[in-house]
Amino acid sequence: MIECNSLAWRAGAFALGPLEYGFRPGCTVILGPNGSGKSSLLALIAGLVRPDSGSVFCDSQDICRLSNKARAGLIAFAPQLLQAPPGLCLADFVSMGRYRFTGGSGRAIYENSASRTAVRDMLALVGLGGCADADLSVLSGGEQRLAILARALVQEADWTLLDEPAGFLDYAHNAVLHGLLAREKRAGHNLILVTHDADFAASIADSVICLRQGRIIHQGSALDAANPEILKEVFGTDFLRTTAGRILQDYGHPS
Amino acid sequence: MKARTVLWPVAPVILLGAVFAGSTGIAIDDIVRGLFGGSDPAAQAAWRTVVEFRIPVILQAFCVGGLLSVSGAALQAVLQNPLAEPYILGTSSGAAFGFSLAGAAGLAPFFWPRTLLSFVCALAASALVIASGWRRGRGLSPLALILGGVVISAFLSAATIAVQSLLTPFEFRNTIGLLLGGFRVLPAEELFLTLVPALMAGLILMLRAPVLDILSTGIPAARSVGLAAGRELAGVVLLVTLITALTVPLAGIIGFVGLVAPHLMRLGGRTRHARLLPAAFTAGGLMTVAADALVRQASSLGQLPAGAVTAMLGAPVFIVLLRRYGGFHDRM
Repeated sequence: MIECNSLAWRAGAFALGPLEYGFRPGCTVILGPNGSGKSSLLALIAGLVRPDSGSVFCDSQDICRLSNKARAGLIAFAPQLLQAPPGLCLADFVSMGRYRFTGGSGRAIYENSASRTAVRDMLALVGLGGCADADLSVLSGGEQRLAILARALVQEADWTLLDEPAGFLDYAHNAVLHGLLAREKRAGHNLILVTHDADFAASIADSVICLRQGRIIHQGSALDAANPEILKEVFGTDFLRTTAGRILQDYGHPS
Repeated sequence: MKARTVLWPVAPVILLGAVFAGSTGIAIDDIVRGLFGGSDPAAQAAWRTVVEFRIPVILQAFCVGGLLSVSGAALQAVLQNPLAEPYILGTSSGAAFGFSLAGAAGLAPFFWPRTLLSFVCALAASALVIASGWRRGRGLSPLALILGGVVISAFLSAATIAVQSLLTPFEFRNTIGLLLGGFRVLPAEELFLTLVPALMAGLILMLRAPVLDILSTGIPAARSVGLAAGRELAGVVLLVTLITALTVPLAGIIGFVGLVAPHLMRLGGRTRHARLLPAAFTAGGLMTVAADALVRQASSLGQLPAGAVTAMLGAPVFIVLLRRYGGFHDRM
């Protein structure tokens, strides 16, 4: 369980919270429009940003008081954008997710056999086994997203936090992502995802919270992410539900 | 082809060339005869010049250049900024300022107090520059960092000139020699006291190479995989500052080696820091030896400092890198 207690953070004119929410085991999706504070909330939960007030507790431990190593065992974080210098190769980048197991100078993340196996298997799983030695900066945007995801998953933390995991993904990569997330859920790993894609949220979530202008305006189950009325309140635009239960944006004109 | 494979054929050429380069023209055959124990006066004199003057200076230039290059490569990784190096970030100017203050205070003959003062000023300069590039919630701004470094560096260079011209006793080092460094024969004890701790700091950086790999993906990412990123960043800055504070009083400011040598070694493919740092050390060392040899060969034209050569060659490379990496949104 991850608990946000009166969590508040401010940057310039933008204010997040104060928020009160308990993330239950399973898959929780944070849904909301651009600029609603989703990514900020995720960074706060990941312990990468210090709140102005309030706290985040994971398994009854204040994440701001944990060592980086202890926190990395509880929470893995996949950011939206890749930051890597030219010349860094895919397998080395993914290996960094294993640092919490080795510590020290980190030499073991490349050499230790458990680490090498985990990295090779994960790359095969995301379909990038063939470009383990490729320079990250020459990979496509979608492949870079999957690399970030792979790094977070080889960390094998209790909770994995994903910021817009479906961004930049084409249909094939999106299918890989869905397969991976479903597999993680089956394996009993806990996920917290940020997205503005209601259909994606409805397809994967156990619980949904809706954020608007830094506040939680709705919390419920995956069914709520497929409810056009709730979505209209969250995003301020119209949605349709197909007979198959999928959510589409309603552009308001016949196609 | 990897750029570092070029080092193998280039190294003997530069090192041998540096032995023969010099203001006092020594005939090659005299040196060779001296090497094989020739007993005639010309061979003896030539051999003594090589052993007592040239080889110590070459060793010194190689170590200082190599350490600056390793420092540059490490800073580029931990600050995620391809333009970072001790000279650009004002660390070298801080050390030079501290050293000139020590001279003004009459501490020049005392190794530890003057090194401490150089270290404190260099650390203050690094800290100020990093603070000027830091944006709350967004981390380090690459361009603000470089601009902060340029401004602080200009300020400290001016302050160094002021201190030297107003306060420093005449017999103390000249300002040009400090701001545009070069190499000269120094007492073995001073070389030992300076280079041994500096080389140890360089070795620690090399042993932490995988940590540099992780830090090069950004502070938030490094923290999220479990690295104590703030502490590691501070450690690297401290080691680089120590290297700078030790080498600047020895050789003055040798600019741009820390920028050019690591980037040359990055050409041609993927690079872990475990491989990059030793290659960068060798390349930086060879570049500095070559600059120094060039200066010694050309010294009939007047006293040209080696730092002037590295700066004249390095500044254009900086411009190229700035155009390549210094975009408004690009982080690297």
